[in-house]
Amino acid sequence: MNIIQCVELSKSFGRRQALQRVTCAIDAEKIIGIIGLNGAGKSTLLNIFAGYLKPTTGSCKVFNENPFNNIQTAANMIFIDDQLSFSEYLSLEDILKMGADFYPNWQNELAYRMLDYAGIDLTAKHQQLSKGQLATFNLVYGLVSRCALTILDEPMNGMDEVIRTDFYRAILKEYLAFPRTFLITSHHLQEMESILEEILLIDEGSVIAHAPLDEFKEQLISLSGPSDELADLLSETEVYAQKIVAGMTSAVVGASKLFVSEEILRTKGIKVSTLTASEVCMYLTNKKGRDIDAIFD
Amino acid sequence: MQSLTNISLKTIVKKQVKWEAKLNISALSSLVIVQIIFGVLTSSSGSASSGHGHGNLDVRFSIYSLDTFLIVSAIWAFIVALLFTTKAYRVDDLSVISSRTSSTIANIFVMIMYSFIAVIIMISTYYLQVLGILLVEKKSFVTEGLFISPSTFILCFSSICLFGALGLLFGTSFKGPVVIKIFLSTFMVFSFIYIFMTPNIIPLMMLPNLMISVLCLLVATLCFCLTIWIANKSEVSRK
Repeated sequence: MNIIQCVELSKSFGRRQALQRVTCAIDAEKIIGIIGLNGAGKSTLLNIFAGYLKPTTGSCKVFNENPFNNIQTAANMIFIDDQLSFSEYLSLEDILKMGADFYPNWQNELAYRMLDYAGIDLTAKHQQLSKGQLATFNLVYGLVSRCALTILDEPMNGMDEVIRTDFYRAILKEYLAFPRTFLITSHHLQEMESILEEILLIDEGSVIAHAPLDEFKEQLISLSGPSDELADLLSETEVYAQKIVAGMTSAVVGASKLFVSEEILRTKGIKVSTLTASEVCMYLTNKKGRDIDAIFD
Repeated sequence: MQSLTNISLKTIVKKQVKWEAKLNISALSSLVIVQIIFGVLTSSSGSASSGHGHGNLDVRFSIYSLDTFLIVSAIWAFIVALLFTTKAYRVDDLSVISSRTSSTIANIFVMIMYSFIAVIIMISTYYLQVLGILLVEKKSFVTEGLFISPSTFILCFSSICLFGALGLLFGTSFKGPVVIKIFLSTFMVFSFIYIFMTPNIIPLMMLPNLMISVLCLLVATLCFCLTIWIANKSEVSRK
């Protein structure tokens, strides 16, 4: 069952087009990674899902309703990002009490245990926390609220590696204990690959891929072998990256347009290897002609 | 699939009012301090004074009324209401179940509650001032009425409420769509000019207390409704 449905969704801020004709459907009870470069439109899309922004054109339905300024969407959704803020008069303990008052599925005991594990003092104020502690507290707040739609926008920003690894596990454990839909954006795709079920890749305001993780990784493959053997093959398919060193070529190509069996490739001395989701994202969103070295030349 | 939570707007507003009233209690303590300061400052001359001298006889009248306290409370209500619409307060609301509509309705209820408490603070400070003058300066008093009449109480409440409503409307209109910003700011500027520059205001002030109260409450209700309408159309800007 879809909990989010977008049809031809566009959003512009003045002349800047943040989202362009986005059409997608997101299933319930899945952990989905929303991936894209900075400024790709991820946060705008999440803000529309949360009901904070109104689409310029097109439609967006969350739980079969228009989410904009909708109390039912708000009751079943939590949006965690680095801008989450609380009154300066509240200690962390008071914040947890307030959360328990508002969210019907709130897990106070779990919150206490997780914050104790992260070494966060409950008597402190939200504003007094370090960047990493703030991110940890916000994530805990999002997890223990147990909302049907949990949106985590860069939840691990500022956390150290150990805590990050632990909290990816915490997300997974919470998901297993209380299945719901997680939408997570992160720049650490490699780290969170293990918990993702689907990837929605956004580039320049458009969805360029939305598939289960394995299917997503199979979109591109890496070929390496003698340049003369590969030349014909590369001319027939879409090449995302290519490197030639001493007569040997290694290239990343689109797998869907490659109609040669792996056995034939092997006989030609061409080695086929798969890519990680992070690498696939990188190649799919890499703009042609983009080269950092060119700036310094 | 996990069953969805069904919460009514009324429930959310109740919770928001409870927390907002509790968290912003310092606004009331600031009013107490400001009222005491003004009470002390006006203790020698009152809200108005006049003097007459003839030979060795020098008579000085000082009128002690609620006027100064009411003006201070009205300005306080306007500022507090404006503060409720600032980014810091609006972003805090997003951390719990809320919508722009629920947050605005909650702000309105808190403002109404605070206006009521402000009247009590105002009257208490007034009595304290009079008591202080009686005890310290030992001046002779001509009392018009020992107790504040209900109509004066309602008038004070409705005036503070009106300024609170104007503050909320003014603050919210600057977060709404551009068309609303332009229209409302023009409308408000012209309204202020009309009210203060035309002689029509004098007969208005001569109306009975209850009549003015009803007028104030009507305008306040209109402002509250407009505030909810604008909030309902506004997007969330957290940048």
